[in-house]
Amino acid sequence: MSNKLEHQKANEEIIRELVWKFKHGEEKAYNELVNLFKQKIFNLVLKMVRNREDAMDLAQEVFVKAYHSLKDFREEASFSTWLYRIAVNLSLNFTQRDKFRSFILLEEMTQPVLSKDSPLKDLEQKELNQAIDRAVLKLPGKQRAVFILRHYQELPHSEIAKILDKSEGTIKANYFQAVKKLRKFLAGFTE
Amino acid sequence: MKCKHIKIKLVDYFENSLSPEEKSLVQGHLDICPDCQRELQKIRSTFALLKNESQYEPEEAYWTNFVPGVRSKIEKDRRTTLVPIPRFKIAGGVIGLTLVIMLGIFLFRADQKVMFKSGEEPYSYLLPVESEKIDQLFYAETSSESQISRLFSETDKDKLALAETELEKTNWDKGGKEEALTGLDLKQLENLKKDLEKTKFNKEIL
Repeated sequence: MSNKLEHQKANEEIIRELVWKFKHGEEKAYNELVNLFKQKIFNLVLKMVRNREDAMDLAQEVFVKAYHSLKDFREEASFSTWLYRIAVNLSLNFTQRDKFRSFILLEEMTQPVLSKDSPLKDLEQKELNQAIDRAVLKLPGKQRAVFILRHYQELPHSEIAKILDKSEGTIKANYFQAVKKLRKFLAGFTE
Repeated sequence: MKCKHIKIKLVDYFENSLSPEEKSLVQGHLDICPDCQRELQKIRSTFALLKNESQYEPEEAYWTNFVPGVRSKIEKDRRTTLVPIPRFKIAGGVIGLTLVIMLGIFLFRADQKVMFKSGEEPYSYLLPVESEKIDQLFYAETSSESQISRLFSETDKDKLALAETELEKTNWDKGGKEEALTGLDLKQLENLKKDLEKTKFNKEIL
């Protein structure tokens, strides 16, 4: 068995124990769960909503929602799968709700650190970031979620299928469609 | 295998997530199909572009305050779910009560309107006899005296007659008798005298 797999199993055991402790009244166990997942959840939410301020707030909301629902969590899936599902759903609801606003604030979405040496390159980078934000936000909700979970979170199709409660075949088809659309939306930069 | 079946697998081929058999099949097709080669090149360029996207990392303070921030939101949620419920209930109760009262007034008025329209008696909630009298008095202006007199019972009539007798007696004592006698001539006075004597005689016999 590889070290990576062993490490993953050990992590899962720790997470299960923390969930058990929290369910049995140990409030501090939840803080540890938050610390374990906060960065992954923030990155996922940021890629989904494409706005830093919103992502910073929404990432915390994911853990608030999870806190209220954790007592009813039946552990049919792993805690991480369940948490990712919450994050994806909250992000999709958010972008659905604020679709218009998201596009209006697109200017504010990407603010790369400008270097004095190559302002032209910085401008190109800013344009590229904005184009990617627009392209990703234009994807239909499920395709966007599949693409982000696969491309940025590097999750296997099987895990994405569990998170989104779809078959693996559907996930693969969604991913293919998402890439095809992104290729089309970003054609101006690739050709 | 046709191009459309290969194109579906090109993303997986690029990500190296195909089984060895599938990978070999796609590779074999790509060797002879320039169209699918171009398609693969476009996929490569798209992923290369996505790789150039800027990555954002929040400041350390955000991570330091992350758990306290979550805890604060949980507490805020608890307060908003615990405190407003009684307020909501009170507000709901007041609104409900107001609605019931308004509905009551509305129904009462509507009921009266319907009664008037349908010709029913509007005072039917009173005692039957009272309501009947009020209703009949309402139309008394257009009725004859005999009709009005029929409204009252025999007892009422007796009381009315007694009241009239009392009034006449009072008027007679207050000078009415002088006035009555002055209007009589000598013959009438003589007849009156005879009548009075007869009455006195009868009273003595009785």
